[in-house]
Amino acid sequence: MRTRTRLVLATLGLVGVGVVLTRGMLAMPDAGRAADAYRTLVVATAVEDVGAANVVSAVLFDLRAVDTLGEALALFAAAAGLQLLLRQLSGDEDEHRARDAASDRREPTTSDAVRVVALGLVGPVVALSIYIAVRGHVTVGAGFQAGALAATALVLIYLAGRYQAMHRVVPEAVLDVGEGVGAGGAAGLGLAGLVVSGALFANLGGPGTFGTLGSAGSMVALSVLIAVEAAAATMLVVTEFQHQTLELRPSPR
Amino acid sequence: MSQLPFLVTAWLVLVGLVGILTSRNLIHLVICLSVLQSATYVLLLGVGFRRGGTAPVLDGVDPGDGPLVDPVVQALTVTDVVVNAAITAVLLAICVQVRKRQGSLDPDGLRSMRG
Repeated sequence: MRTRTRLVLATLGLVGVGVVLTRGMLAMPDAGRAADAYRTLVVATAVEDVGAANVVSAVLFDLRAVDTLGEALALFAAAAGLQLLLRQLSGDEDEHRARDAASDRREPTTSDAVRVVALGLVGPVVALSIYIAVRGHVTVGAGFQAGALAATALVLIYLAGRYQAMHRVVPEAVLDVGEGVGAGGAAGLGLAGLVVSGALFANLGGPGTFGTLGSAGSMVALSVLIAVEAAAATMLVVTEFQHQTLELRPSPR
Repeated sequence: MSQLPFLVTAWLVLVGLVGILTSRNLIHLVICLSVLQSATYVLLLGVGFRRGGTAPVLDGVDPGDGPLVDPVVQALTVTDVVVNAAITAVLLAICVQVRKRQGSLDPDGLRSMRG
């Protein structure tokens, strides 16, 4: 199809979509004044039955934990799919790999300022990610955010120019295990709830004292498992892409 | 102004679609898809917004104090963000493979799929 014809057709379609969408959006109930029967029920359940001060986390890791398992499996599938897509295929060994054209030049060094800041941030970021993972039921944050933060720590090591160190700190085998433990553990926790209480992802352990670290029962365990899964999957994605961009350098003798 | 979040949603959908349709680079196309998908965040948060409401995190807040914004749609938004990240990662991997196989990232310049 010619570009011009395609453009005319696309414009027609876009105008149609735009009109329908705008009309539909204008017919929505006013933002800020929607009905709140369901919301009231959810907040009451989260506070009384789950015992979580963070109602969003209570929804994610207790009331709708099945959704969250699906989400974790989507991350798992994405990381697995990436490894499949980016694997070394026969035939692209030599011709398609990026090759270092000037292997005798000096290696560009990361500036000391970047290195100090990046490496200095690794510890605090890891600590913050653990803090967020285990306290997601009391205050803001929970599993997924903690996982993303943990992956940030890995990227910081890379940013500091320590590519090899990055792989020593978290070898890919560890990431694979982490992914399996995270996703499998989350599914196992759901099944445990089914066996013990007769409902998938039923909360094991009482609501506890509201607002304390020990509250919300097994929801915290699920949050931590999801954090492990999210961290491992994100790190796998990052390392998988990094394999692609590495230039081949003849090893120094 | 009470329909503003929903109109922003419609705008993001349209802008994302225009970007996808006119894209000359697959990576640009993936980013446009992300823009399109971010419309769903605005829509969800707009649906759950409550005038004068506070965040649904009762950390030192009494649940009876005042209105809360809807926690359910916020949880759905978290799911949405994670799914977006997963999709973007896979699509970018496909871009890498396309570049390797076809030597181009222009969607119009791609030859048909080969086994």
